[in-house]
Amino acid sequence: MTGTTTTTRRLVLASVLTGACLGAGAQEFSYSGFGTVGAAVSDKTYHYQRFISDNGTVKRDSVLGVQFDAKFSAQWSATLQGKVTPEVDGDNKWAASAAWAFVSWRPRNEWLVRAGKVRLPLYLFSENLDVGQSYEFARMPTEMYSIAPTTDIAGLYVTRNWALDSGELSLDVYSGRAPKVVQRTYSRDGGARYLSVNTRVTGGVLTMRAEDSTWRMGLHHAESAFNSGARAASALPYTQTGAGTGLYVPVLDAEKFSNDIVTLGFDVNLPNAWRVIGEFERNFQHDIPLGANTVGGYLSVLRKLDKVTPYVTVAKLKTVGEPARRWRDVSQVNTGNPYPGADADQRMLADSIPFYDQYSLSLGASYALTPQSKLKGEWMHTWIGKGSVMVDSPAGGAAVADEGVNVLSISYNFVF
Amino acid sequence: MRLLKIPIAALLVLCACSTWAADHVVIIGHASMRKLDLVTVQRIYTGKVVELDGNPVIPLNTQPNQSIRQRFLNDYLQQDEEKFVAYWTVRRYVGKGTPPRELSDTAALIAYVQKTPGAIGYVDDSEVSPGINVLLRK
Repeated sequence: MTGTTTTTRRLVLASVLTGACLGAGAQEFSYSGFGTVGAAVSDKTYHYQRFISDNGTVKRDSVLGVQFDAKFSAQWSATLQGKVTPEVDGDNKWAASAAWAFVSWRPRNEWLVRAGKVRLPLYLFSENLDVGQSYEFARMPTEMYSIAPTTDIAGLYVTRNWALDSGELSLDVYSGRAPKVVQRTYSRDGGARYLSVNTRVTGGVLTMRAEDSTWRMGLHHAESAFNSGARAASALPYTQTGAGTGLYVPVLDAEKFSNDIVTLGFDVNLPNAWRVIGEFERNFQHDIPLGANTVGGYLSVLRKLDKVTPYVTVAKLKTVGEPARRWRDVSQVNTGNPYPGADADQRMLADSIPFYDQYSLSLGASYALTPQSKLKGEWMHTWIGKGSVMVDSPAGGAAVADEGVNVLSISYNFVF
Repeated sequence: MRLLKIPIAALLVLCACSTWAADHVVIIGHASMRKLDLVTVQRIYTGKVVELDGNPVIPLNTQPNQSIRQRFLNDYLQQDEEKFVAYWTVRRYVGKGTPPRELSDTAALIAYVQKTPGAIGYVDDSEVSPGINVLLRK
């Protein structure tokens, strides 16, 4: 574990130092900034997506970042991107972090090699996710863009391009580590908890870009373990406590667990300024019965009307297979109160399972104030089915289920 | 009356010719560079081609407030300023490079192209003087 962290730090540090050393000979140096000032409010007292409630928040969507690009020669360059966002392991503070720190080598038109801290290419808008000005949505659908808790890895990223008659085919292959991925869980009895996980991710993405469309398919494999030395549940046996009553007691002996994620995406421009964007995922959980085993995605239809681009999006995320069955079992168990706090223990266990059963309908629009800035507004209705860990269910009651949440969002997005 | 028609027609032809000349953007490059086709120019200005025949290529742009830039974007890239900026905003923030270097005007661009191997840019056809290597004329 320590070795993993040290190796990753060394890789990032080496990249930054390489960039810094080469900096003295940089032919070109440029910087640019980006930001989103976003406010969101819901019609519920509890928090949705960590921050959104009827009190309103600016923490869900706001971000400020700056990117430095240094070009040392036609082949070599370095990029450093820092950003300020709400802290990943606390709901009340903001924190600055290095989102990217990598050195690029482009020996030929067809090849691009990047080493350092890079963005995981899980989604169509992975790399520019923080730059709200570069897309039309108030926020990318959380049902798709929350399937992996990490977005950045330190490692190697190789891209091979093939120029076609009308477009381009590219293959991205990467491998790297995220030494500290913070996973937030929230339970009605214990509040928010932050679990630190280290993950090694390897994968490939095939992208076809034609004149008016982009098609993308990705395969990703992640292996994770808790940094604290804690172990994940490898089994969840039922222990009978009486006639028709019992408890689920997890067997905590899984040192690591893995996921395979398949993603498909497309972005197609149609006649008369119509545009259709869709992304779909299947996250296969291995080794443990209580992990994220999800199927999800979204479909959006947009139409550009001069400076205004209205859109409608439907999105869905659902936990399937064994984790869904286990969540249902634990949520519905009748403990018979064999000891004080037994019901609370089972609630906490149920709340810790990354269970999703929700869909959303969003209506929104972006307005291009200038080529560098956009105003966006969105109304989103999310329907929570059997439950969702995106909701912080109120203490002392049942988990939020069969309930709708309305969210209004507005944001100003800019680059400079 | 007939006598007047001939000079007026000649004047109109002259105006049309001078307007055509002023509006026609040509691609220029360092003396060592070969002629280019339209697709290659498009791929250079969108960052997809960074070398030609093994030699680095350096695309140059003028400032956004220059009318020739808008004509170049329209004539050669089939884009407007907003689309070009949006394209490079995404490309920069996906870590695939930075937009072409911007120079103040075509005079600065010509000077840069003439002294820098691999540099390419654009000027009005009327600004092409002997010694300037024209890579593409649409």
